[in-house]
Amino acid sequence: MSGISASISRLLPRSLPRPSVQTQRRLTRGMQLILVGIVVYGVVGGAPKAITNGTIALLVTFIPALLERNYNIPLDPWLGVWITAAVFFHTLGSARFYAEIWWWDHLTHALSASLVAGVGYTTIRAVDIHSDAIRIPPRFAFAFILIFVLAFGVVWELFEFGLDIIADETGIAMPLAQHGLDDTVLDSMYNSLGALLVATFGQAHLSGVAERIRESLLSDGGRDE
Amino acid sequence: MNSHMDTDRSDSTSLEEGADRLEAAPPEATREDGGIDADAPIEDERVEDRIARLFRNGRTNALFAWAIVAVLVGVFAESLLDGDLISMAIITGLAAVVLAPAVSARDWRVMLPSELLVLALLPVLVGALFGGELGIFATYVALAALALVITVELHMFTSLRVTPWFAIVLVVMTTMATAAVWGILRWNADRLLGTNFLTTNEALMIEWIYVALAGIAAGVLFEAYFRRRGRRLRRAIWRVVRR
Repeated sequence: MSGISASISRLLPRSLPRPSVQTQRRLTRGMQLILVGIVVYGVVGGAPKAITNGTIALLVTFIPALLERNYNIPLDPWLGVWITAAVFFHTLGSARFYAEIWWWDHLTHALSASLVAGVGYTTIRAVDIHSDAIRIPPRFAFAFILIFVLAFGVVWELFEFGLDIIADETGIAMPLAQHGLDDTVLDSMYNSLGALLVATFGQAHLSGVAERIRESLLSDGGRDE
Repeated sequence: MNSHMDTDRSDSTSLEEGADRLEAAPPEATREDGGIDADAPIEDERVEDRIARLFRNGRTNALFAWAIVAVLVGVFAESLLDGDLISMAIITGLAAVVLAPAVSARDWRVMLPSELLVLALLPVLVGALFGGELGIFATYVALAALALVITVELHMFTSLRVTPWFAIVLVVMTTMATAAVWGILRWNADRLLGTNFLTTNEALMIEWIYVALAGIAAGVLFEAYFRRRGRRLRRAIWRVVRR
């Protein structure tokens, strides 16, 4: 435990100023309200895409709070805002801005890729902590994050491609679609940008997450590190 | 197949002997690997010991591996004459990967298993010896083999430690990540240099499907490879890779 807090305080100078819990709650509530507005708009205006996207996004925004309450895993306030913002900007985009603002798609891709990068980093840290036989020094984390995000991007694009084919065959409107070669490659490029940002700045915020998850899951019989 | 098995066996015997010989020399160096050596600098002896266990030091395997190196030298000479800088850089990198174990152990017989080298360098070898090109699937299986070789060498030479399952997951991800990077590079070349690598989104997606399949196939292949090696050799590899 002391080792963890020591490593966190060592990393603190590199992290962004922490928002207070109140600020985080306000930001989250504000985004959730707008998401509710989008769902209502979808119902009233008869836009099924806005309903599905808005509802899924709204559910995702409750995950950080859920993790804290039910599993007692305290997340960095920024992490909560970050998760909420990623789904929020995507939903706003599919409601309106993807079509109107050319860089909106790039913004959401970098943002959601940064989230995937965070998941990848936390997974690697968890494996590193959990297995005695596996050791991943921090200088390799950078490469791992990039590989993880790029590979996930390929799987994601293939998933969208599959949805497109199903949509073409059946005529069912899908919440996701590909928009040609340029869009696919640009998605991959902005995914890499998001991954690079996380690999450079995100480790300070994420360094404790894997430890805290492990601690709360194995709190009875965990080894001391 | 049968003769191959025979050489396999003789190689593994000599490997085991080599490992025993080296193990006998530094008695402490081998046991404490479980995690204590995180801070200690890696001594030459211990590196040699790990290599002796993983890499075959049989003559047959080494001769075969050096024949592959000879082909690499030939390809390098050819690209030198053509003034092809990219090809020269790639070949130099591959040669470094192939020769790293022998150089670090200062023993010409310490080489990676030659079947793994053949698979990893298949696109280069096929291009050099038969003048053909492999399909996407085979190319990316080869790339996965190269990623496996590099992962194992990082495991040997740095503080990175992997297990077989983790190495395989990593290799499958690396294969797909490379496809993404290659796509990005070609797209930008098309825009900035006026090349015509990429055609349609559909073509790229079909390429990526093959890449994903190749990555998964390579993962299954390596899993089987780790399992089906001669019992002694497998034990030797797993002992090292597990650390």
